[in-house]
Amino acid sequence: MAIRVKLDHLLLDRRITLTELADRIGITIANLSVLKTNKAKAVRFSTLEAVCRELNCQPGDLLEWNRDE
Amino acid sequence: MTPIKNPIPSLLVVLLNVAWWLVALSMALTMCIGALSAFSPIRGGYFDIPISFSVDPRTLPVRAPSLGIEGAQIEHARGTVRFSPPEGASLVVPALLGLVVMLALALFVVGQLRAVFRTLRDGRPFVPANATRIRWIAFAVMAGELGRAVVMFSSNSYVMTHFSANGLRFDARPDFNVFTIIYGLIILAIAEVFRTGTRLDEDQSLTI
Repeated sequence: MAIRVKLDHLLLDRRITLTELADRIGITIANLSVLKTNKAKAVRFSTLEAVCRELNCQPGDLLEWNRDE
Repeated sequence: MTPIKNPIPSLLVVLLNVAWWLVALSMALTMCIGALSAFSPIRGGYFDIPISFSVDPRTLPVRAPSLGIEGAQIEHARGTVRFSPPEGASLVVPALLGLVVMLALALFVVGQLRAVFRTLRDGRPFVPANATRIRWIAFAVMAGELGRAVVMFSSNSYVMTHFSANGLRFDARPDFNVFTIIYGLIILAIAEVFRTGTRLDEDQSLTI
């Protein structure tokens, strides 16, 4: 998919683990892992809001569009 | 999501398992009889062959005096002719071969149904494989009906060629059941709806 989720970069920048983020936003690690590995087909606004709130970022910081993919 | 166990699919899986084994055993038995008959001809027993016939109105007049109907005719009646095969007649092998083909088709359909109900029992029916299985069931239903029509026509032709009876006129008709083909098409449509359902389910499960 041309849209890539840059959750791994943000987690690295914020020094937060996937487990910690999952606990904070109330989403299972399995689901968050799907998001992180770019296997997700859609993201709910509520998930996007929770991730942005906890990582203190904008949705644009989380998503990236690549023309070539 | 934890799969929910449903007792009805579990029961159906058991019934389909029994049906599958029964059909498989029948098929194995038929093949054994076929193999044996190749070495030593089977004596005794009889054949039932489906027939289509019309009754000569001069031999058997049909009337309804209360309705004022005279000279009605019996046309394209269905039945079977039962006979003991003469020695040396090569009927056993083609008959058993036809039976094996029909049993193989039944085995295939029951096998596919069993696989579908297994996924239903496990609480995860919306898998792409089920759409394919349902599609194959639809094709098998339609192929089975076509095969049945061919068998009917062949047996009718056989009787028409070799048998005769006073007052009866044997004819050869395929007895093609359009409704079975329509059922097959309905199952095919359900398979395609199911395929769309599996896509939606996949999308739903990958929406975070």
